[in-house]
Amino acid sequence: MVFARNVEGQTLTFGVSGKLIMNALVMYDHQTESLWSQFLAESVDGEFDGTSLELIPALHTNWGTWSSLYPNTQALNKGSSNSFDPYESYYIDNRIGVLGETNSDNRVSPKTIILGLRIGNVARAYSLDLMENEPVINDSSKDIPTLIAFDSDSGAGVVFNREIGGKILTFDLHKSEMELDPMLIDRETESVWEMLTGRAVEGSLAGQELEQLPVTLAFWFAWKDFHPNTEIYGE
Amino acid sequence: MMTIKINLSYFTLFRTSLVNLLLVSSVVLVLFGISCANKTPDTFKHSNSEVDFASLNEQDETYKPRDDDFAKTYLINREVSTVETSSGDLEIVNFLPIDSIRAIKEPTFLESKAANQQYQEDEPILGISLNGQHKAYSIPFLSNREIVNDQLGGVPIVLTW
Repeated sequence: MVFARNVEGQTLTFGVSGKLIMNALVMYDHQTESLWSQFLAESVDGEFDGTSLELIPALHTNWGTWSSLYPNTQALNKGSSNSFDPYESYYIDNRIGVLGETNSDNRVSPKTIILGLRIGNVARAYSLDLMENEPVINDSSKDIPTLIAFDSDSGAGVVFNREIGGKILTFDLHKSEMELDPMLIDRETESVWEMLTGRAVEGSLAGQELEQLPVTLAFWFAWKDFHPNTEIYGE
Repeated sequence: MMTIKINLSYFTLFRTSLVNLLLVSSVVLVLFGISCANKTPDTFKHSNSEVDFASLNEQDETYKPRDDDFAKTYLINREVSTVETSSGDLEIVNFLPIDSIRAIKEPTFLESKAANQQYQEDEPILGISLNGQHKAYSIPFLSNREIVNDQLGGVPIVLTW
């Protein structure tokens, strides 16, 4: 997850507190030693207790896809460290967190990976299993018309506001032999859009860009602990 | 607000049923397994209480080393407390000593071409595009470090994993 570090006029730097709330990271800031929950995006103790962090949209994908979408991108220098992921086996086995789950809600399997969207007090979850078959979802959440799209080739899921210039658009997958990256087409103007960036590249809306919304890629068991009233799409 | 209940055992976490007793024993095993096998040696470089705060933050003038009292309060392993949150009262557990996983404060970056030497095509990344600037962060790398403090498009940001 990505957050803005400017909080109430102060630029904070964060460290790992070593604490967990329902299996999830709790950060502390070096300036005030307040504690911050990653999943709740808010401070839970200290001077900033109750203050929210602003989420910034990010795309979970692979290097090949990202560098073709943004050829002038920079990449974090990993230095001499290898790419061993300590959680690799954890992603696929059946263990649930390190402290067990808090809420038992197995509408979908605990280790199902979901895209979690929270707008105001409304939380909605879209299972990636479901999106393998339905990669483009025109939905709405708290009066905001949303577009949820999933590219199974790169494993990237994105959410956009599908209202642009006062017009609500409805999207479908756009099959094209020419394009390597996944594309969308809207029914209203038949403009063609890059799925992962929300940029229109052909048609009357070419050059326009949809507003991306922050979405959390998470195991269902972790998401539901923090958002027990989540509506699951398709249930 | 935090109400501290020092040194409560795991059983207070799962007081509801007998079934949970089984859960507790598996949790202990999992905790043990994770601390032994699931972290790189780097993770535990600072797992004793003598955290080297000076080297951690040598480039950050705003940071001051914390005092002993703070360390004493926060380095007690497995202390369970309750915090009020927007999702109600939640339990917060001391899992590792503070800073035993070291956040990154001064990340360095490669241009796209050079990055092809370090990144595989199918390597999972978190990509951010902000105010016309774009950056990719290796997810296996983030898994080892949990937090990266950075800037993008003029905005100070923090990545968490």
